[in-house]
Amino acid sequence: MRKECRRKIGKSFDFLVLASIAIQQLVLPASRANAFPIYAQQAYKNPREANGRIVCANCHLAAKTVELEAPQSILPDQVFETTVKIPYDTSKKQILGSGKKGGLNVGAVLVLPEGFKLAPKDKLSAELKSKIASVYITPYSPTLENILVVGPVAGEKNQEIHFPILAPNPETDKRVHFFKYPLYVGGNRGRGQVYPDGQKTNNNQYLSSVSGKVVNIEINEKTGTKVSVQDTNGNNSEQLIPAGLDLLISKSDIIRVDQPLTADPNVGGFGQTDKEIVLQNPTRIYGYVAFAFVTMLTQVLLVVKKKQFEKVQAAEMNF
Amino acid sequence: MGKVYDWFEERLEIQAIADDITSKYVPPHVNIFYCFGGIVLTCFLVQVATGFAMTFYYRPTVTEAFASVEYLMTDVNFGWLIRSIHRWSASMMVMMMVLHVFRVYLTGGFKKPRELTWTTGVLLSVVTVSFGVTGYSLPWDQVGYWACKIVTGVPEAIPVIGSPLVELLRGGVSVGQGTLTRFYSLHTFVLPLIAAVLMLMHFLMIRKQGISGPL
Repeated sequence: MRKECRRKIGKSFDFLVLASIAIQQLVLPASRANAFPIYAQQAYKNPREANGRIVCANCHLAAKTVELEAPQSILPDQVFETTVKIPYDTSKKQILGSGKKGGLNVGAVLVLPEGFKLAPKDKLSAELKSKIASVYITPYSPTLENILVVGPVAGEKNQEIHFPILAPNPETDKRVHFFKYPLYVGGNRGRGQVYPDGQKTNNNQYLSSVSGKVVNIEINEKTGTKVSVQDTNGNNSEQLIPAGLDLLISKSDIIRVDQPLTADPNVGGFGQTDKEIVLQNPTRIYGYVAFAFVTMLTQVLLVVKKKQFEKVQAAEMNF
Repeated sequence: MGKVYDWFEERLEIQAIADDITSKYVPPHVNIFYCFGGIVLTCFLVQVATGFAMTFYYRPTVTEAFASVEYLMTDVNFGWLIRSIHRWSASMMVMMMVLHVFRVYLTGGFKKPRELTWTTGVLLSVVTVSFGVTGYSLPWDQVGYWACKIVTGVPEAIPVIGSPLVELLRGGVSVGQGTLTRFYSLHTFVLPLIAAVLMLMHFLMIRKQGISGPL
C-alpha cells in the first residue's frame, strides 16, 4: 500500500517535472539550458555523490567559488536562515542556446542533514518572507525533503539565495540527535558545458579536429559556422561550430589538431562548499552556565577565605 | 579512627609523610602564574578519567571507529559530555602546558640545581603533544585521517632512515588499520605509562628541591 502510494507520488512528481520542462520550453524557447536542475533531479537519486561531489559539477565544468552563511548553532524547532552567495561580475554576458548573448542565471542546491527541512510559510518572520519572495525553493525529490533546490533564477537579483530552514526536534524525531551536523551546498551561475546525454553545449571552446590549412569559413547566423580544412594530403574536412561564438582563426591560417577555433565563451561556473552546524540542547547550555557560576563562586570564596586567614595570621604575629 | 591510624603508623610511619607535607609552606613570591603546572596535572587527571570511560565504547578498527564515536556522542548516556570534556580538556592541557613552560623559563626555574626537573618537563611536553597527535586521529574521521597521513609522513624528509621510520610509524607503507592500532596503543597504553613515570620524577624532584627562588 505504502509502496504504491510512493510510486504514485513519484509518478505525479515525474509529471510535474515534465510539465515544468514543457512550460519552460514554451515560455523560454531559447534557453533550453535553464532546465538543468531538473535534469539532475531526473538522473540522480541523491545530488551528493559518495565522494562528496555535488552532481551539478558533472555538467557545469568550470569552477567558481560560492559561499555559505549559516548560524553556528540552533535550537530544536527553530526556524533559521542559511544564505548561499553566488557572486559574479554582472557586466558579463553569456552565450545562450540560440547563439545570442544574455544575462546569467543562478541556481543552488542545499543538502541538509536528515530531519531538517524547508520551513513552512506560516512560521516565517515578515523579514524572511520578503527575502525569499523572489525565489521558489523545492525539495529535491519527494523522498529527500532535506535537500533543497533553487533555480534557475535571474542572476542579477539573486546573487544571494536565502533558505528558511526548520530544525528538527530530537524529542519527537528519533532519527536526529543533538549533534554537530554538516551542511553541503552547491551554487552555479551560467550555463553548463555538457547536456545530460553527453553532448557538448555551445557554451564551450571549440577545438580543431584536424591539422591543415583553413580553406573556407562559411558564417551562418542560424545553423552555425562551417570551417573547411585541407590537410597536407589534400583531403578536405569540415567542422561545424555553433553560431554566436567568436572565431580565433581566419581564412588560409595553418592550424594544428586541438588548436582552439573559438574563444572560450563561458563566464559562469559551479562551486561547492560546506559548513558545520550544531543542533544544540538548551538544557546543556543551562547546565554549563550553572557549572561556570558554581566554579566562579568557589574560586571567589577560596580567595575570600584566604584573605581572612592572612588577617588572622597577621594578627597573631603582632602578639 | 585512632586505631586505624595507629595500625598504619606502626607499619608505614605515616606521621613522617604527613609532617613532610604539612611542614612545607608556599613562599611569598609565588603568585597565580605558579598555578599553571598544577592545572596541567588537573587536566591530565581529567583526561585519564574521561579517556578511561571512553574505552568502554570506542572500537579501534577503521570500519567501526567513526561509528562507535558517533554512537558514543548520540546514544550513550552522557557520552557527549565525557567526549566533549576529553576533547576540550586536551586543548586546555596543551595551552596550560605552554603557559607553564613560559612561567618556568621567565622566572629562571630551569637553572641549577633544577636542570633535571626542566629536562623531564621537556620530555613531558613531548609526550603531551604526542597524546594530542595520536588522539586526534582516533575517531578516524576526515580531519583525523588526513592529519594522521600528514603527520606520519613527515619523517620521510630525513635521508636514509626516513622511509623505514615512516613505515614503523604507520605499521605499513600506507596509512591503514595498522596505523590506527598503533595510535590507539600509544594513546591508551604506552604514552600514559611514560607520562606517569616522567611525572613522578618531575614531582619528586620538585618536592626535594622546593619551589625556585624569587627573581
